[in-house]
Amino acid sequence: MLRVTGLSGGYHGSAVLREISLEVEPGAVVAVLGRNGMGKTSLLKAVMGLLPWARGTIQVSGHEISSLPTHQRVRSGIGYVPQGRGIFPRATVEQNLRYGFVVAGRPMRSALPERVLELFPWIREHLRQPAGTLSGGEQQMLAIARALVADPPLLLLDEPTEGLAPAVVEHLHAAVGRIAGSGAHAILLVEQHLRFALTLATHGYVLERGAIVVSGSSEELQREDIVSRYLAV
Amino acid sequence: MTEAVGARTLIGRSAARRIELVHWVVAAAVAVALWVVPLFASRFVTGQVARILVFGIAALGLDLIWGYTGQLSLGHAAFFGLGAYATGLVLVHLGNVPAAGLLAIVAGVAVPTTLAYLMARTLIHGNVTGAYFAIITLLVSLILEQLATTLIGITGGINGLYGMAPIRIGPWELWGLLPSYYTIVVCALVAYAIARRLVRSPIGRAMEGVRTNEQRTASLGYPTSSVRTIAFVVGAAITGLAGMLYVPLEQFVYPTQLGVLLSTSIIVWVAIGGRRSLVGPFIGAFVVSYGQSLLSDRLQQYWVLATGVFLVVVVLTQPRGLVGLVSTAVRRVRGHREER
Repeated sequence: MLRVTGLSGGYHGSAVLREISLEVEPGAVVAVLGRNGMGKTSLLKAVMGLLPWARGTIQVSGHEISSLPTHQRVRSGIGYVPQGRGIFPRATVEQNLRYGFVVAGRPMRSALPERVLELFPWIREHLRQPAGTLSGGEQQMLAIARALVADPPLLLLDEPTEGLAPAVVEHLHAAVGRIAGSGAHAILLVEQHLRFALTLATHGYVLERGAIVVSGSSEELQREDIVSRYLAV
Repeated sequence: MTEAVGARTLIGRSAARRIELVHWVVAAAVAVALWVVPLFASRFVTGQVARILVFGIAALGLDLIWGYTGQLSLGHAAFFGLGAYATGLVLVHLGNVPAAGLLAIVAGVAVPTTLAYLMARTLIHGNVTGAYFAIITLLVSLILEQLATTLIGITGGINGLYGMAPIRIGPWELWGLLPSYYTIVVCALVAYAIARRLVRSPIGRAMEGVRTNEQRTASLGYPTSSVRTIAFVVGAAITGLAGMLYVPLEQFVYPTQLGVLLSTSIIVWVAIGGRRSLVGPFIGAFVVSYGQSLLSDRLQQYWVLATGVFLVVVVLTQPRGLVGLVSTAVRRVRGHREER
């Protein structure tokens, strides 16, 4: 689904990603773990073409996308949910969802897809509400729902649990679990919340200072020595 | 239930239709009112109204770029002046060519539009946006003003262009107060309708997205550079149209029409009238021009100061200008009524 090879990148005059290679199989959930500032968000930005510079290869469904501008990368089948959710706070929930149609090249007045509304049943009740008035957890789910409107085979989630209360995290966990369970979307999940990520993902990579230092199955990554060395805060 | 949520759930379908109907009824009433102005008003007042409409069209162009897309253009008079000069130069130097009138009108819009496209192509697609872009528009306007002042043989230098042949297309002559007035009214409506169509289209939504958060909008699959380009080119074309219309009205083209003072005025009209409102630019142009003529007899030297203070107050307290102030008030009154 996604194959990244030798990806380096960064900001002007500095590298924050060093020779990263990783792979996500179709329908799989893969976690990217690591402490703050280790390059997790930058990795997703590099995949999306949002870093000032990057080199290496990025393949989505076999197509090389590393030379494409952001909006065309999205159209190759990526749903990107940036850190901080990236909803439009003044637009209504429905308008936010409709932005998702653009990627699919469908008219914005198309009917909202039933499969998305079924994943997040509460959305139906809030369609006319300004998205900025939703709770943090609802905003996060709205951002994911918007990405799913275009039915992308690959979903990139950047720290979805950031700033959410534990009860809300449980709710989100169930939602992401349902998305993964549908088998229609591969998910690359960037997280600091270990339990959240490793109970959803089958496989994971650990980033330290912009490079992958460990990779393995979720069970392996939960080993005491790995957690204390690379992940414990 | 496969298609659960229809397209028009934001507001009820009938309510949306009613608002749309009221909007066009009001627009038609304004058009009729403007149409009959010359029958009742003096030539002086008619000329003032025409000037305000031209300024309003010019500001409408900037509003699409600044208000809706969030990209300030500090030198927007460049497009106004270029429209005026393109029309004027055709009339002075090619006045005897057949179809000179048509050529003058077309050039008045096409030349500024072409410049805007070239600027957008090189700057926006080279990722020059924000403050840098604004400064470059300012430089372009300064360069054009400088050229208009120094190329005396072609442009008449600081004295400007005069001795233009009237714009004639067949039997129709677009020259002097009344023909200009009616043409300006029609063009104001057309420019308004085009701008309205644009901001309500998917491109308009993308413009809002670019203003709110460009990376986010790109991540949703919008070609944001193209969206910026479209907004900039359409905005410049509308402002160029205003410059073109100014020529038959004033029968005179001069370098300050390209320069900093007019650029600043256009920004002030948009800011005072209301960004992200298509009526705002016209209201801003009206309020500022009317205030100016009220105070100009005795307080000429204080006018600039008064505008400055007014601008600061409006921008600080009402980011969406006078239109924002009115619509907030209307919403409050409605809210009260519904509570009862």
